[in-house]
Amino acid sequence: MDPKSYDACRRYDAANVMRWTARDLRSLATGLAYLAPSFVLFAAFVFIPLGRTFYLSFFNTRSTGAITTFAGLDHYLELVTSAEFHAGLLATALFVLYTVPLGIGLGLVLAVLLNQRLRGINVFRTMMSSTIAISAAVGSLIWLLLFNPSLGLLNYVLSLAGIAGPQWLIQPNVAIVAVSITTIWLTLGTNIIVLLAGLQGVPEEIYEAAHLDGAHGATLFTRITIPMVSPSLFFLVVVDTIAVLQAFTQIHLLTRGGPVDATRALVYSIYLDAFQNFQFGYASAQAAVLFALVLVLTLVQFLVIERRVHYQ
Amino acid sequence: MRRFAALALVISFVAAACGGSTTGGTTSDLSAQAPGKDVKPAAKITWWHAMTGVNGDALNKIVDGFNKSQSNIKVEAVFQGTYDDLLSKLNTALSSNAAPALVQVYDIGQAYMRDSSAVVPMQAFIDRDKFDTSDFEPAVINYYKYQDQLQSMPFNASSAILLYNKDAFRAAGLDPEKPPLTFSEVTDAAKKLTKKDASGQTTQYGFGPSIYGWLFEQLMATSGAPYADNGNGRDNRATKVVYNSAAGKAILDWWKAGVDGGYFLNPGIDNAGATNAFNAGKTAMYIESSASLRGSINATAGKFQVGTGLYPRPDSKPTTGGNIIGGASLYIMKSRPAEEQEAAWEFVKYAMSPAVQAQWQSDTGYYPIVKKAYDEGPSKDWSTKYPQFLTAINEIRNSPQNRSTNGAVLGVMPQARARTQKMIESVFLGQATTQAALDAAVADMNDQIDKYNKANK
Repeated sequence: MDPKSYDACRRYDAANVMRWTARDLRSLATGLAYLAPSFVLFAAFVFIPLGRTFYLSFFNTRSTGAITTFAGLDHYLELVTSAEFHAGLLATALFVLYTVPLGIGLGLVLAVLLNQRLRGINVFRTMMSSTIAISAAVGSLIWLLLFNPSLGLLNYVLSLAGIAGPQWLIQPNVAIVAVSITTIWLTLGTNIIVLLAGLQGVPEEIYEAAHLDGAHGATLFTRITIPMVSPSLFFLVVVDTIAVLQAFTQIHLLTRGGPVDATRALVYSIYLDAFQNFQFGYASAQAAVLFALVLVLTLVQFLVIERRVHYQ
Repeated sequence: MRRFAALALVISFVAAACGGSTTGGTTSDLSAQAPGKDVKPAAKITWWHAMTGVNGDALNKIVDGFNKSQSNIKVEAVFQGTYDDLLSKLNTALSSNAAPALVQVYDIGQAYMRDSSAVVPMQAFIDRDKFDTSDFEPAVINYYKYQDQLQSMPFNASSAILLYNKDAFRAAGLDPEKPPLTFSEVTDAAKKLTKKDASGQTTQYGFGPSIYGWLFEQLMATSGAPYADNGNGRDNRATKVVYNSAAGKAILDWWKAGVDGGYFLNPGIDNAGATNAFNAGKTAMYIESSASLRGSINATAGKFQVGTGLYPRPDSKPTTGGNIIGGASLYIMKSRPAEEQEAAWEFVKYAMSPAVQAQWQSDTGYYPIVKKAYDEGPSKDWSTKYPQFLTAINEIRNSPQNRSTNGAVLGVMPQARARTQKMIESVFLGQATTQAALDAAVADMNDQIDKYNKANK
C-alpha cells in the first residue's frame, strides 16, 4: 500500500484499514516470491541455527548434542560467575581495542601513500594489499614461525639490534599482542583497498577549492580527506569489529586460547566448550551473549559514529 | 530347603553383580553384537582418519594394498584433520547419521567412544571369528582393553621417549651413549648442555619439552602414580582425577626449576616448535612421541646424531613406573548397515596382518601391533637402519603392566589434557605455586567429570 491510500483509509474508514484489494494481494505475493529464495537461504543458514542456539542455551545436553534436561537460566548464571568467561570477555575487549583502531589507522596511512600518482605505484598497491589473497590459516602459520621463541625471525632481527625479544606466545600479555599483530596484518589488505577506493572517489575540485582558500598539509588531511572517506572508515569500523569478534583461525593456530586463557576470545571459548568439552548448552549461552554483544556494538556504532559520517 | 534356595539365589545375584563390575577373565562372549557370519560385506566403505604427511601416505598405501588384494570391497580413506577435529566431526556426524563405517580415534578418545554407544565392540568380531590376539603387543592391547574387552582395534602405536643430540653431549663432555634417566640426571645434564653467548643470551638449552598434557601423563606413569581414581578409570568409571599427589607435585617442581634456572627451554604448547628447536640445535634434549623420531632423524641428517633414551622418571626409579602407549585405534560404527560393518572388519583383519604391520612400521615409525611383524623383511631392515626405534619398543616391553602404566581412561580425557597444559602454564608464569595449580586443575576436572558422568549414565 502506498502512503497515500494508507492515509485515506485512516481518515475515512478506520474499520476497513485491513481491507486489501485483489491487486494489493497480488503485488504482495509477487514481492514475497522475489524474497523467497533469499529467505529460504537465510532461514536455513542463519535464522534456524540462531533460533536453535537460543533454544539450546536453556538445556543440558549429552556429549553428542542430544538434549537431556531443561537448564533454565543455569548456563547464563554460570557465565556470570565463571572466571574463564570473564577472562574471555577481557581478551575479546583487548583484542578489539588492539586491532580495530590500529588496523584502520595503518590502512589509512598506507592508502594515502598509495594514492600518490607515481610511476609504478600499481606495483606497490598490489604488494601492500596482497594480504587479502592470503587465508587466515596460512597467514597465522607464517606468523607462528616468525614468533617462534628459539628460531623465529622476529626475535633474531631484534637480537641484531641488541634487544632480547619477548617470548611472544608464552607471556599472556604479549600473546594477545602477537595475535593482534597477526590479525592487523591479515585485515590490512582489505582495509587498504576499501580506503584507497574511498580516496580515489574524492573529487579533485574539492582539494583545489581548499587550496585556493589557503588550506594545506594537515588541515587538508583532517578537514577534507578524513570527512570525504568517512563513509569508508565507518564501514571498516563496523565490519572489522564484527570480524574481530568472530576471529577464530589465528587464535586456534597461534595460542589455542592460552597461555592461561589470555587469548580465549569469545568465539574461541564457544569452540572449546562446544567442540572440546562437548557442553553444547553452555556454549550456546555464550553464543547468545556474543550475538547480543555484536548487535549492541553495531547499533552503538550506527547511532554514535554514523552521525559524524559525511555522505556526498 | 526353601531357605537354601533363597540363599543360593542371593549368592548368584551377588556373583552376577560382581561379574558385571569387576575385571577378570570371566567376561561374556560378545559375538551376538556382530553381524551374522553369513552377511555379505558391502562393496564400498569409508574410513575417516587423522594421518597426514608421511604417515598419511603410509596409510593410503595400506588402503591401496587392501583394495588390490581382493575385488569385493573398496575402502575409501578420508582425511579429517587432527585427532581432535576428527572426534568433533564424528560427534556431529553421529547425530545426523552421517558417520562412516570405520574411524580412527586417538588413544584418549577411548572412554568417550565407549560411552557414546555408537560402536560395535571390536570384541564382538573377535569373539565371533575366534580371531587370535595372543600375538599382540601386550602393552598396546592392555591400553585399549576395558574390563577385558576391546572396543576398538589398536592401529598406530608409539611411546614417549627422550631424544638427545649426541654431538652436543660430546661437546659438553657427557657420554653420548649414556643418556640421563632420572629427573636429577636430566637436570644435571641440561645444566652442562646449556650454552650462552657473550651478551648472555642462551644459544643452546639443555632440555626443551613442550607444554603437552600427554608428556605430563607419561611422567605420572613413570612415577608409578595414578592419574584418576578407580584404577585409572579402568576398574570402574573414574569419578575424579588424583594427579595433585606428591608425584604430580614432584614433576612440576622439577620442570619449573629447570625453566626458572634457564636450562630448560619453554617452547609453549607448540609441539612442532619443540621439535624444530631440537632439530635446529637450540635444545640438546627433549621428550616426544617416538612417532616424531623419524622426522628428527631426517631433519638433522648431516648436522648431528640423534640418540634415544628411556623416558625420564623420579630419582627413586619406582619399580611400578613405566610408560603408557600412545597412538590411535580403529572403531566400527553401529549406525552403518551390517554389510558395511562386515567390510570394515575385513579391512581391520588385513591391517593387522604381519606383512602390513611391518610395512606400516618402516613407513612411519609407529611400532607393529602384531609381534610377528618383526620377522618380516621391511621391519628387520628398518631396525638395522634406525636402531633408535628399538628404544621405544624395549621401553614399552620393559614397562610393568599395572593401572598406572595402562594409562587413564576418562570420558573427559581431551579436556583433562588441555587443563593440565593450562596448569603447567600457570606454574611457569608464577601465577600459582605447583600445589595450588595442581589443586585448581583437579577441582576443575572433577567438576567436568561429574557433569560428564551425569549426562552419560
